[in-house]
Amino acid sequence: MKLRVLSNQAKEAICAEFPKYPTKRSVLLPALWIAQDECGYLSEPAMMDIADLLDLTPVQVYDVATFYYMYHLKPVGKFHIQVCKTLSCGLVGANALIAYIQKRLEIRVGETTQDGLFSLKLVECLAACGSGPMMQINEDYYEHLTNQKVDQILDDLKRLGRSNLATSRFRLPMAI
Amino acid sequence: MDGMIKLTFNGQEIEVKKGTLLIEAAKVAGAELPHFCYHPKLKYDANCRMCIVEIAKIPKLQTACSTVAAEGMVVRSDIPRVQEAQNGVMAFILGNHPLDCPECDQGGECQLQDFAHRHSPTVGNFGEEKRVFEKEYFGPLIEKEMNRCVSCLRCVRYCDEVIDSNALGSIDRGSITEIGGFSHHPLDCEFCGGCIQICPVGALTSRASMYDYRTWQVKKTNTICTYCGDGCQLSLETIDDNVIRVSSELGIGRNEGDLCARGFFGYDFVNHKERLIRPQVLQKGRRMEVTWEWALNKAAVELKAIKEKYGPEAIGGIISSHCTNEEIYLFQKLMREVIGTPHVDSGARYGYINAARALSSVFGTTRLARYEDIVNADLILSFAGDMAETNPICAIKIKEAVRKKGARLIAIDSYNSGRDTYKSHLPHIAHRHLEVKMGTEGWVILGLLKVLDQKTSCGPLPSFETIERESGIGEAALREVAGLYAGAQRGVLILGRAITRNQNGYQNVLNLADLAIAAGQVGKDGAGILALAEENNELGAVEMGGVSEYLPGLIPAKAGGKTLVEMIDAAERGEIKALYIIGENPVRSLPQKKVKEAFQNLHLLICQELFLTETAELSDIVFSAVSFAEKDGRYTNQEGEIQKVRKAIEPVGGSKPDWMIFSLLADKLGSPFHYKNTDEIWKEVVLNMPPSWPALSKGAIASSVTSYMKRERKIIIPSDDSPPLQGGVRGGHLFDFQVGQSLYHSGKLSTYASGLNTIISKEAVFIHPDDAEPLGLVEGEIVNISLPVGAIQAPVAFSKRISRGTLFFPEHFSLEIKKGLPLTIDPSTHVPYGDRGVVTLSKISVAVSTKNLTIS
Ligand code: SF4
Ligand code: SF4
Ligand code: SF4
Ligand code: FES
Ligand code: FES
Repeated sequence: MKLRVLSNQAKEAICAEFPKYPTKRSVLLPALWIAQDECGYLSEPAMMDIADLLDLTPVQVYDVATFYYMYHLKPVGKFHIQVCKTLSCGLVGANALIAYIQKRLEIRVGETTQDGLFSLKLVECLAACGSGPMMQINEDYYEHLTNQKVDQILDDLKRLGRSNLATSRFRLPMAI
Repeated sequence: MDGMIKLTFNGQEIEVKKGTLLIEAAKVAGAELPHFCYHPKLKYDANCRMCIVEIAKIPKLQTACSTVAAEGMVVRSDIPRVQEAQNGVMAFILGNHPLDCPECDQGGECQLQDFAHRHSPTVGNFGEEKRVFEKEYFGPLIEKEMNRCVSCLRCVRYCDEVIDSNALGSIDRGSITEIGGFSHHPLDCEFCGGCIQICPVGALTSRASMYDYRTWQVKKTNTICTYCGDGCQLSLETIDDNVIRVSSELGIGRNEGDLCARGFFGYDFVNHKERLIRPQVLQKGRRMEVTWEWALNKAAVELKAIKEKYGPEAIGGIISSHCTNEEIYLFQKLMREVIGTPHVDSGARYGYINAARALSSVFGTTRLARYEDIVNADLILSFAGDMAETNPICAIKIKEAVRKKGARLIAIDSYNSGRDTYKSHLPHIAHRHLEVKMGTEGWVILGLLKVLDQKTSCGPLPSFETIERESGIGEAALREVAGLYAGAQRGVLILGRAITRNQNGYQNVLNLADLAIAAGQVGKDGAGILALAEENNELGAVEMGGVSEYLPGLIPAKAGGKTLVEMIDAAERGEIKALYIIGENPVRSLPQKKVKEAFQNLHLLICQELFLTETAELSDIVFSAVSFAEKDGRYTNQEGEIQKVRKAIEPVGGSKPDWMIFSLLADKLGSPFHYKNTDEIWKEVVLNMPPSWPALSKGAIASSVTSYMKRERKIIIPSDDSPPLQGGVRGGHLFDFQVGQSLYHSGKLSTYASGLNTIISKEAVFIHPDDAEPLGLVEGEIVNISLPVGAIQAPVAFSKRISRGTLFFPEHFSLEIKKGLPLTIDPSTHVPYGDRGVVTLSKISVAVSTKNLTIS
């Protein structure tokens, strides 16, 4: 089988997941991660490669890829801003914040700035409900946000590539 | 009673089979629970929450579609608590619905309308804006109006669970969820229409009949599909003698409500503007329309003259196996009794006769397996790798057996087991797939027989080494497969056109019969043999005496009757002076035979047709006949099920049903038939049939087998010099070449159906992508296919289903290529085999005008 865009390494990483799951189809989530990690986003040929590897049709892959916000179907900017839009953050001003970020970056949700630096997406609760409104940029959390803080963070990122206003890093839940 | 349980539903004590879902149990108690995602054909999904009921002792309301009834359960759906909850669910569903029922094609047959009527208050609580999707054309044949979608996923599940096309997905999430394909590509699937039919609302509708009707304006006529031998029941929906739409009803017919693209989208040839609407005669080289009286008189006068001058045997008749039983019966009666000629044949001669004759000579009947046997089999041995294309509903039965019930499928064919995106393919789901070299199934059958029947009374069988050399299948695989087949509880054997329409066909079916006997897979419950029929009434044609060797009821006819090919040869030699051809088109189907030249030799050629076909164009007289939509009668499907065809519309223009034309002609020939309708013909047919017809008892089959085994039998080893058997020629630019059937068409007739033409309207030659790559071919590129005689140009299409080293060419468009393919004739049944050969494929640098590619 010829791969379109995925590397052999990615293919091997995906195949290495097979023994952990009852069916090939169950490997879909990890496979999407592996592909996104390699390509930056899930392009059509990447999803077709996954479909071939998992014996699915491309739409079966697309179905799942569009369900989860953490998979990107379009290339994302260098800094991928994910603002929480769920209730707790909503109650403390997430909507106004989202409006502000859109204005400030001159893009709408789902878009990427012309210079390719920032893209903006809304996500469900990121488990920082006590310190909303909040957002995650790449792997970093930013909490208790205000318009001023957003300005500063975006400036920092643009100039330095990082910002001291980051409060913590994204962590996967771990088994105790 | 055993296996039954008792429960109380809405205060009523009911008894249902163990395992019954509450939503079905409710029906026993006379209650219809509102539901969207539940559908009896699909595994339950319980996603819409509409069917909730109260079950005593369970605090929360439960979904009835996913709860199995249990002994002593007390269930209520008629209490305010349940009804309020259902109304609440309905409010959510309606929250996003555009309420555009007045312009929705589903209006009047919509489950949302029905249930909303029962379950919604007149005032909604939602102040939010509704989501808005743009209406979309979802591929060539389906319209998508996602604002109406209730996200029940029935369409997605049907396309997966039943069709195995997997062309649909649920895209995005939350209130913007929509049903769609991959990214924004147009839908390219099997186009079975099942998603349209199973959608409870008007979210998916057919573009072929968009805004053409309101459901209550159409007249529905239940009838049988005219295309393949699967024999599906469908409803023709008509307004003023126009067929507007086709539908089918859940659980009804041998197809249980499923249809394929041909059945669902292939109807509008009926009202095609090129239909012949009046008889035509050729007068001094000019074709002109005439009255029936004139045409019939001319036919009668000329037939009588030929009969008087040259004797009745100078006249022959060929009838299509798309005609009804009554028509075929009457035709052979007209030919044999009124005209007095033994030369009667039909489309069954193109291959099905091999199966019919071989099976009935061994078992006394062809009725050896039904679809229920397939669905309940634990092992299916299939010699029909293209079944999902030739007989799609029979293939659905196999998918059900394999995917739902865990049956093992053994597929033996010259296909690759790879599948194309969004197209199901049986070898792909096979437990074991033996991919043989093209045309060598016969060797594999002998190999399996050799394993199971060492002391075979058929004489010596070839060695395993020879079998492997010829077919590519070694002893170990043969032993494994034979062992599985013989060891099955209920093994069903299926054979398709690879067997019946190709070299050694008759002998191969006999050998398969021997194989089934040796494996003990006939004569016991659930086991059997099914021969697929490509045209819908091929079995009927044989049983009604529409072949030279049989009178009605498979009673042997006196020797001397000529078969189709023999009639053409006799015409060429000048022995046959007149031919009467009903719905057949030998000029097209037998390009190798110089049929045109032979027909030009005739003194009289009469054709009975819907369209001016290549054969009709040569005719002195053309009678304008009607399609299946315009007549009554009966078709017999490949299982042997005799089903009623019902007239949905009046004959188009001045055309007439075939049986009526035969009667009128008989009148003119001075031997009137006096039938008022097809039921009267059928009564006569039934009276003329042997008492054992249609079904033969198990005992009778067994004694037929016993006497067959006593007969002297000889296995004919496939001869090495019959051309397609040199399957070894591969590699480089040399390919085995196979002409065959595509899912989206049936013969030439379907190319008059605009729905099907939007899927495929041009020829193409299919090649495996891995074969195309080294040749540097890109999809769509025009290539040259050359044979020892002649060559054609056609675009290439890639398909992973095609066996490496093989090319596939659908038979529905130009058949020029066949002129160069070798034609051989079966020594026993005179079936003409001319669909295979060896060709050279080469790239051409000059662009070829696509003009050559349209339907000729
Ligand atoms: S194959 Fe096509 S027409 Fe049939 S259910 Fe799937 S998407 Fe619908
Ligand atoms: S399109 Fe129809 S069948 Fe499919 S999810 Fe929507 S409502 Fe259900
Ligand atoms: S073509 Fe065959 S499978 Fe398709 S609907 Fe008609 S009878 Fe059924
Ligand atoms: S609601 Fe925003 S982090 Fe939980
Ligand atoms: S019908 Fe039961 S949940 Fe949809």
